[in-house]
Amino acid sequence: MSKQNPFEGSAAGIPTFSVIMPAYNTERFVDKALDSLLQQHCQDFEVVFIDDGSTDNTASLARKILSHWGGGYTFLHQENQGVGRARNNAIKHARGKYLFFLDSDDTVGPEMLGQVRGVVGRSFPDVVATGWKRIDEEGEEIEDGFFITRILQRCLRSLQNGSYSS
Amino acid sequence: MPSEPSERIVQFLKGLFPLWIGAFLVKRSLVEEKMIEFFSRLPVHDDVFFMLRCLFHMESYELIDKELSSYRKRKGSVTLDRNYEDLVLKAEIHLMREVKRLFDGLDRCPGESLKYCNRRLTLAYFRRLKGFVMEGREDLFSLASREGVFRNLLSDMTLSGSYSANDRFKAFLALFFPVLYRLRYRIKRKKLSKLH
Repeated sequence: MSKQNPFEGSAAGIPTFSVIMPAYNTERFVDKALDSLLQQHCQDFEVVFIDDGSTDNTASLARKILSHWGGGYTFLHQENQGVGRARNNAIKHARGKYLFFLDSDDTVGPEMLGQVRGVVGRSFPDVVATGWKRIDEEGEEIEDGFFITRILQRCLRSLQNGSYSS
Repeated sequence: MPSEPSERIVQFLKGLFPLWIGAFLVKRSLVEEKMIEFFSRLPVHDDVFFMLRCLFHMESYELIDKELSSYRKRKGSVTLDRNYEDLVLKAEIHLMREVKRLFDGLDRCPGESLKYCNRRLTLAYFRRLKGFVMEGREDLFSLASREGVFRNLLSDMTLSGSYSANDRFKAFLALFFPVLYRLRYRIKRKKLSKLH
Protein backbone atom coordinates (compact mmCIF):
# COMPACT_ATOMS: atom_id res chain seq x y z
CA MET A 1 0.00 0.00 0.00
CA SER A 2 1.44 3.34 -0.95
CA LYS A 3 1.72 6.02 1.64
CA GLN A 4 -0.42 9.06 1.17
CA ASN A 5 1.52 12.23 0.54
CA PRO A 6 0.33 14.84 3.04
CA PHE A 7 1.11 17.61 0.59
CA GLU A 8 -1.20 16.31 -2.11
CA GLY A 9 -4.07 18.24 -0.60
CA SER A 10 -2.24 21.56 -0.41
CA ALA A 11 -2.89 22.36 -4.03
CA ALA A 12 -6.60 21.76 -3.49
CA GLY A 13 -6.71 24.32 -0.69
CA ILE A 14 -6.34 21.82 2.12
CA PRO A 15 -3.65 22.99 4.51
CA THR A 16 -1.02 20.63 5.83
CA PHE A 17 -1.70 21.64 9.44
CA SER A 18 -4.79 22.44 11.43
CA VAL A 19 -3.72 24.17 14.60
CA ILE A 20 -6.25 23.45 17.33
CA MET A 21 -6.22 26.09 20.05
CA PRO A 22 -8.68 25.82 22.93
CA ALA A 23 -8.77 28.76 25.32
CA TYR A 24 -10.33 29.50 28.66
CA ASN A 25 -9.61 32.79 30.42
CA THR A 26 -6.14 33.25 29.02
CA GLU A 27 -6.31 36.89 28.00
CA ARG A 28 -2.81 37.45 29.40
CA PHE A 29 -1.25 34.92 27.07
CA VAL A 30 -3.49 34.36 24.08
CA ASP A 31 -2.08 37.26 22.05
CA LYS A 32 1.46 35.92 22.45
CA ALA A 33 0.34 32.43 21.54
CA LEU A 34 -1.47 33.55 18.41
CA ASP A 35 1.28 35.98 17.38
CA SER A 36 3.90 33.25 17.59
CA LEU A 37 1.68 31.02 15.50
CA LEU A 38 0.64 33.52 12.86
CA GLN A 39 4.25 34.63 12.35
CA GLN A 40 5.35 31.15 11.30
CA HIS A 41 7.60 31.16 8.25
CA CYS A 42 5.59 28.26 6.94
CA GLN A 43 2.05 29.51 6.41
CA ASP A 44 0.62 26.19 5.25
CA PHE A 45 -1.87 25.94 8.11
CA GLU A 46 -5.28 26.92 9.33
CA VAL A 47 -6.26 27.87 12.86
CA VAL A 48 -9.23 26.35 14.65
CA PHE A 49 -9.68 28.50 17.72
CA ILE A 50 -12.28 27.46 20.26
CA ASP A 51 -13.26 29.62 23.19
CA ASP A 52 -14.38 27.40 26.04
CA GLY A 53 -16.76 29.88 27.63
CA SER A 54 -14.18 32.40 28.80
CA THR A 55 -15.44 35.12 31.10
CA ASP A 56 -12.61 37.55 30.36
CA ASN A 57 -11.50 39.15 27.08
CA THR A 58 -9.90 36.04 25.64
CA ALA A 59 -12.48 35.55 22.90
CA SER A 60 -12.55 39.16 21.71
CA LEU A 61 -8.77 39.40 21.71
CA ALA A 62 -8.38 36.21 19.72
CA ARG A 63 -11.07 37.19 17.24
CA LYS A 64 -9.42 40.55 16.67
CA ILE A 65 -5.98 39.03 16.07
CA LEU A 66 -7.30 36.32 13.77
CA SER A 67 -9.41 38.76 11.74
CA HIS A 68 -6.25 40.71 10.84
CA TRP A 69 -4.51 37.58 9.65
CA GLY A 70 -4.68 36.73 5.98
CA GLY A 71 -4.86 32.96 6.47
CA GLY A 72 -7.77 30.64 7.02
CA TYR A 73 -9.25 30.26 10.44
CA THR A 74 -12.34 29.01 12.22
CA PHE A 75 -13.54 30.69 15.36
CA LEU A 76 -15.73 28.59 17.62
CA HIS A 77 -17.41 29.23 20.91
CA GLN A 78 -18.91 26.79 23.39
CA GLU A 79 -20.22 26.92 26.91
CA ASN A 80 -17.55 25.98 29.39
CA GLN A 81 -17.21 22.20 29.03
CA GLY A 82 -13.53 21.60 29.63
CA VAL A 83 -10.50 21.50 27.41
CA GLY A 84 -11.00 17.90 26.27
CA ARG A 85 -14.43 18.51 24.85
CA ALA A 86 -13.26 21.79 23.36
CA ARG A 87 -10.51 20.00 21.48
CA ASN A 88 -12.91 17.29 20.32
CA ASN A 89 -15.29 19.91 18.97
CA ALA A 90 -12.47 21.73 17.24
CA ILE A 91 -11.24 18.55 15.56
CA LYS A 92 -14.61 18.22 13.84
CA HIS A 93 -13.96 21.54 12.06
CA ALA A 94 -10.36 20.84 11.11
CA ARG A 95 -9.44 20.26 7.46
CA GLY A 96 -5.66 19.97 7.62
CA LYS A 97 -3.70 16.79 7.07
CA TYR A 98 -2.16 17.01 10.53
CA LEU A 99 -3.70 18.17 13.76
CA PHE A 100 -1.43 20.27 15.92
CA PHE A 101 -2.61 20.97 19.46
CA LEU A 102 -1.35 24.26 20.80
CA ASP A 103 -2.55 25.66 24.10
CA SER A 104 -3.44 29.32 24.32
CA ASP A 105 -0.78 29.96 26.95
CA ASP A 106 2.03 28.36 24.90
CA THR A 107 4.13 29.81 22.13
CA VAL A 108 6.03 28.27 19.24
CA GLY A 109 9.26 29.27 17.53
CA PRO A 110 8.94 30.84 14.06
CA GLU A 111 10.53 27.83 12.33
CA MET A 112 8.48 25.19 14.09
CA LEU A 113 5.88 24.32 11.48
CA GLY A 114 8.42 24.67 8.68
CA GLN A 115 10.66 22.11 10.31
CA VAL A 116 7.79 19.74 10.95
CA ARG A 117 6.62 20.17 7.36
CA GLY A 118 10.06 19.14 6.18
CA VAL A 119 9.86 15.98 8.26
CA VAL A 120 6.32 14.97 7.37
CA GLY A 121 7.08 15.63 3.72
CA ARG A 122 9.77 12.98 3.81
CA SER A 123 8.22 10.14 5.76
CA PHE A 124 4.49 10.91 6.23
CA PRO A 125 4.47 9.81 9.89
CA ASP A 126 1.27 9.28 11.83
CA VAL A 127 2.56 11.10 14.85
CA VAL A 128 5.16 13.80 15.34
CA ALA A 129 6.43 14.91 18.73
CA THR A 130 8.86 17.74 19.35
CA GLY A 131 10.93 19.13 22.19
CA TRP A 132 9.97 21.93 24.48
CA LYS A 133 11.18 24.83 26.55
CA ARG A 134 9.64 25.98 29.75
CA ILE A 135 9.45 29.75 30.04
CA ASP A 136 8.21 32.17 32.66
CA GLU A 137 5.69 34.92 32.09
CA GLU A 138 8.40 37.21 30.73
CA GLY A 139 9.44 34.60 28.22
CA GLU A 140 12.67 33.78 30.03
CA GLU A 141 13.74 30.17 29.66
CA ILE A 142 13.54 28.06 32.81
CA GLU A 143 14.46 24.65 31.39
CA ASP A 144 14.26 22.74 28.17
CA GLY A 145 13.37 19.22 27.21
CA PHE A 146 16.14 18.44 24.79
CA PHE A 147 17.58 15.52 26.62
CA ILE A 148 17.74 11.96 25.49
CA THR A 149 18.52 9.11 27.79
CA ARG A 150 20.47 6.05 26.79
CA ILE A 151 17.43 3.89 26.28
CA LEU A 152 15.76 6.52 24.21
CA GLN A 153 18.86 6.99 22.14
CA ARG A 154 18.57 3.34 21.28
CA CYS A 155 14.99 3.89 20.18
CA LEU A 156 16.08 6.85 18.11
CA ARG A 157 18.76 4.75 16.49
CA SER A 158 16.26 2.07 15.60
CA LEU A 159 13.99 4.78 14.24
CA GLN A 160 16.75 6.08 12.05
CA ASN A 161 17.30 2.56 10.80
CA GLY A 162 13.63 2.45 9.90
CA SER A 163 12.97 -0.45 12.21
CA TYR A 164 10.60 1.26 14.56
CA SER A 165 7.51 1.21 12.42
CA SER A 166 4.73 -0.64 14.12
CA MET B 1 -7.62 5.12 2.51
CA PRO B 2 -7.00 3.61 5.92
CA SER B 3 -3.40 2.64 6.39
CA GLU B 4 -2.28 -0.65 7.87
CA PRO B 5 -0.42 -0.75 11.18
CA SER B 6 2.68 -1.82 9.31
CA GLU B 7 2.55 1.47 7.47
CA ARG B 8 2.49 3.48 10.61
CA ILE B 9 5.62 5.23 11.61
CA VAL B 10 6.25 7.36 14.63
CA GLN B 11 8.41 10.28 13.70
CA PHE B 12 10.43 12.19 16.19
CA LEU B 13 12.21 15.45 15.89
CA LYS B 14 15.19 16.54 17.91
CA GLY B 15 14.37 16.52 21.59
CA LEU B 16 11.53 14.11 21.36
CA PHE B 17 11.41 12.54 24.76
CA PRO B 18 9.49 12.14 26.86
CA LEU B 19 6.39 12.34 24.75
CA TRP B 20 4.18 14.09 27.20
CA ILE B 21 5.87 17.40 26.71
CA GLY B 22 6.36 19.54 23.67
CA ALA B 23 4.20 19.76 20.63
CA PHE B 24 2.24 16.79 19.47
CA LEU B 25 0.94 16.42 15.96
CA VAL B 26 -1.14 13.59 14.63
CA LYS B 27 -2.54 12.74 11.24
CA ARG B 28 -6.16 13.76 11.01
CA SER B 29 -6.94 10.63 9.03
CA LEU B 30 -5.73 8.48 11.95
CA VAL B 31 -7.89 10.37 14.42
CA GLU B 32 -10.95 10.11 12.19
CA GLU B 33 -10.40 6.54 11.12
CA LYS B 34 -9.95 5.29 14.68
CA MET B 35 -12.36 7.82 16.18
CA ILE B 36 -9.77 8.91 18.70
CA GLU B 37 -11.05 11.56 21.06
CA PHE B 38 -9.83 13.45 24.07
CA PHE B 39 -11.23 12.24 27.35
CA SER B 40 -13.79 14.88 28.12
CA ARG B 41 -14.12 14.20 31.83
CA LEU B 42 -10.49 14.09 32.79
CA PRO B 43 -9.61 17.25 34.70
CA VAL B 44 -5.92 16.99 33.85
CA HIS B 45 -3.63 15.10 31.49
CA ASP B 46 -6.29 14.61 28.85
CA ASP B 47 -3.58 15.34 26.30
CA VAL B 48 -1.40 12.56 27.69
CA PHE B 49 -4.22 10.07 27.31
CA PHE B 50 -4.97 11.32 23.83
CA MET B 51 -1.37 10.61 22.86
CA LEU B 52 -1.60 7.21 24.51
CA ARG B 53 -4.74 6.44 22.58
CA CYS B 54 -3.05 7.41 19.32
CA LEU B 55 -0.10 5.17 20.16
CA PHE B 56 -2.45 2.40 21.23
CA HIS B 57 -4.18 2.44 17.88
CA MET B 58 -0.82 2.46 16.18
CA GLU B 59 0.15 -0.51 18.32
CA SER B 60 3.29 1.23 19.50
CA TYR B 61 3.37 -0.61 22.77
CA GLU B 62 6.95 0.18 23.69
CA LEU B 63 6.17 3.87 23.41
CA ILE B 64 3.05 3.44 25.52
CA ASP B 65 5.26 1.84 28.13
CA LYS B 66 7.70 4.74 28.04
CA GLU B 67 4.91 7.26 28.11
CA LEU B 68 3.25 5.62 31.08
CA SER B 69 6.57 5.41 32.88
CA SER B 70 7.21 9.12 32.53
CA TYR B 71 3.60 9.82 33.39
CA ARG B 72 3.91 7.87 36.61
CA LYS B 73 7.15 9.58 37.48
CA ARG B 74 5.13 12.77 37.48
CA LYS B 75 2.77 11.11 39.98
CA GLY B 76 0.17 10.53 37.31
CA SER B 77 -2.33 7.80 37.90
CA VAL B 78 -3.77 5.35 35.43
CA THR B 79 -6.50 4.24 37.77
CA LEU B 80 -9.79 3.42 36.14
CA ASP B 81 -12.39 6.08 36.70
CA ARG B 82 -15.97 4.90 36.87
CA ASN B 83 -17.07 8.08 35.20
CA TYR B 84 -15.50 7.19 31.89
CA GLU B 85 -18.43 7.36 29.58
CA ASP B 86 -17.22 4.99 26.96
CA LEU B 87 -16.67 1.27 27.39
CA VAL B 88 -14.11 1.10 24.63
CA LEU B 89 -12.10 3.81 26.35
CA LYS B 90 -12.28 1.80 29.53
CA ALA B 91 -11.02 -1.23 27.68
CA GLU B 92 -8.17 0.73 26.17
CA ILE B 93 -7.07 2.10 29.53
CA HIS B 94 -7.30 -1.40 30.93
CA LEU B 95 -5.09 -2.74 28.20
CA MET B 96 -2.63 0.09 28.61
CA ARG B 97 -2.27 -0.80 32.25
CA GLU B 98 -1.83 -4.41 31.24
CA VAL B 99 0.83 -3.44 28.74
CA LYS B 100 2.62 -1.54 31.47
CA ARG B 101 2.38 -4.50 33.82
CA LEU B 102 3.78 -6.85 31.23
CA PHE B 103 6.63 -4.53 30.45
CA ASP B 104 7.32 -4.23 34.16
CA GLY B 105 7.54 -8.00 34.18
CA LEU B 106 9.97 -7.91 31.32
CA ASP B 107 12.11 -5.44 33.20
CA ARG B 108 12.70 -8.02 35.88
CA CYS B 109 14.25 -10.22 33.27
CA PRO B 110 17.53 -9.53 31.51
CA GLY B 111 18.38 -5.95 30.73
CA GLU B 112 18.00 -6.54 27.07
CA SER B 113 14.69 -8.31 27.41
CA LEU B 114 12.91 -6.04 24.97
CA LYS B 115 15.57 -6.68 22.42
CA TYR B 116 15.46 -10.36 23.14
CA CYS B 117 11.70 -10.40 22.77
CA ASN B 118 10.86 -10.89 19.19
CA ARG B 119 9.05 -7.77 18.15
CA ARG B 120 6.68 -9.59 15.85
CA LEU B 121 5.68 -12.05 18.55
CA THR B 122 5.28 -9.34 21.15
CA LEU B 123 3.02 -7.41 18.83
CA ALA B 124 1.04 -10.54 18.05
CA TYR B 125 0.63 -11.12 21.76
CA PHE B 126 -0.65 -7.62 22.42
CA ARG B 127 -2.95 -7.83 19.43
CA ARG B 128 -4.42 -10.97 20.88
CA LEU B 129 -4.99 -9.24 24.20
CA LYS B 130 -6.47 -6.26 22.42
CA GLY B 131 -8.81 -8.57 20.51
CA PHE B 132 -10.07 -10.13 23.74
CA VAL B 133 -10.67 -6.71 25.24
CA MET B 134 -12.56 -5.45 22.22
CA GLU B 135 -14.70 -8.59 22.15
CA GLY B 136 -15.45 -8.24 25.84
CA ARG B 137 -13.86 -11.62 26.60
CA GLU B 138 -12.45 -10.68 29.97
CA ASP B 139 -11.98 -14.34 30.91
CA LEU B 140 -9.72 -15.01 27.95
CA PHE B 141 -7.99 -11.71 28.48
CA SER B 142 -7.18 -12.52 32.10
CA LEU B 143 -6.03 -15.99 31.20
CA ALA B 144 -3.79 -14.78 28.42
CA SER B 145 -2.27 -11.99 30.46
CA ARG B 146 -1.66 -14.35 33.40
CA GLU B 147 0.25 -16.65 31.11
CA GLY B 148 2.78 -13.92 30.68
CA VAL B 149 4.89 -12.88 27.79
CA PHE B 150 7.64 -15.45 27.99
CA ARG B 151 5.40 -18.45 28.12
CA ASN B 152 3.60 -17.18 25.06
CA LEU B 153 6.80 -16.43 23.30
CA LEU B 154 8.11 -19.87 24.04
CA SER B 155 5.02 -21.59 22.77
CA ASP B 156 4.96 -19.42 19.69
CA MET B 157 8.57 -20.21 19.07
CA THR B 158 7.88 -23.90 19.36
CA LEU B 159 4.91 -23.66 17.06
CA SER B 160 6.57 -21.58 14.42
CA GLY B 161 9.69 -23.70 14.36
CA SER B 162 11.55 -20.90 12.70
CA TYR B 163 13.81 -20.19 15.63
CA SER B 164 17.26 -21.55 16.07
CA ALA B 165 18.27 -23.85 18.90
CA ASN B 166 20.28 -20.94 20.27
CA ASP B 167 17.15 -18.72 20.41
CA ARG B 168 15.26 -21.41 22.29
CA PHE B 169 18.14 -21.95 24.67
CA LYS B 170 18.24 -18.19 25.37
CA ALA B 171 14.50 -18.12 25.99
CA PHE B 172 14.76 -21.13 28.31
CA LEU B 173 17.62 -19.51 30.18
CA ALA B 174 15.81 -16.18 30.46
CA LEU B 175 12.68 -17.82 31.77
CA PHE B 176 14.09 -20.27 34.27
CA PHE B 177 17.57 -18.98 35.04
CA PRO B 178 17.49 -15.21 34.60
CA VAL B 179 20.66 -14.78 36.67
CA LEU B 180 22.61 -16.99 34.30
CA TYR B 181 21.10 -15.24 31.32
CA ARG B 182 22.13 -11.86 32.70
CA LEU B 183 25.64 -13.15 33.32
CA ARG B 184 25.83 -14.48 29.81
CA TYR B 185 24.65 -11.18 28.45
CA ARG B 186 27.18 -9.20 30.50
CA ILE B 187 30.04 -11.36 29.30
CA LYS B 188 28.88 -10.99 25.73
CA ARG B 189 28.58 -7.23 26.10
CA LYS B 190 32.09 -6.97 27.50
CA LYS B 191 33.40 -8.94 24.57
CA LEU B 192 31.59 -6.70 22.15
CA SER B 193 32.82 -3.52 23.82
CA LYS B 194 36.40 -4.79 23.59
CA LEU B 195 35.95 -5.45 19.90
CA HIS B 196 34.75 -1.88 19.33
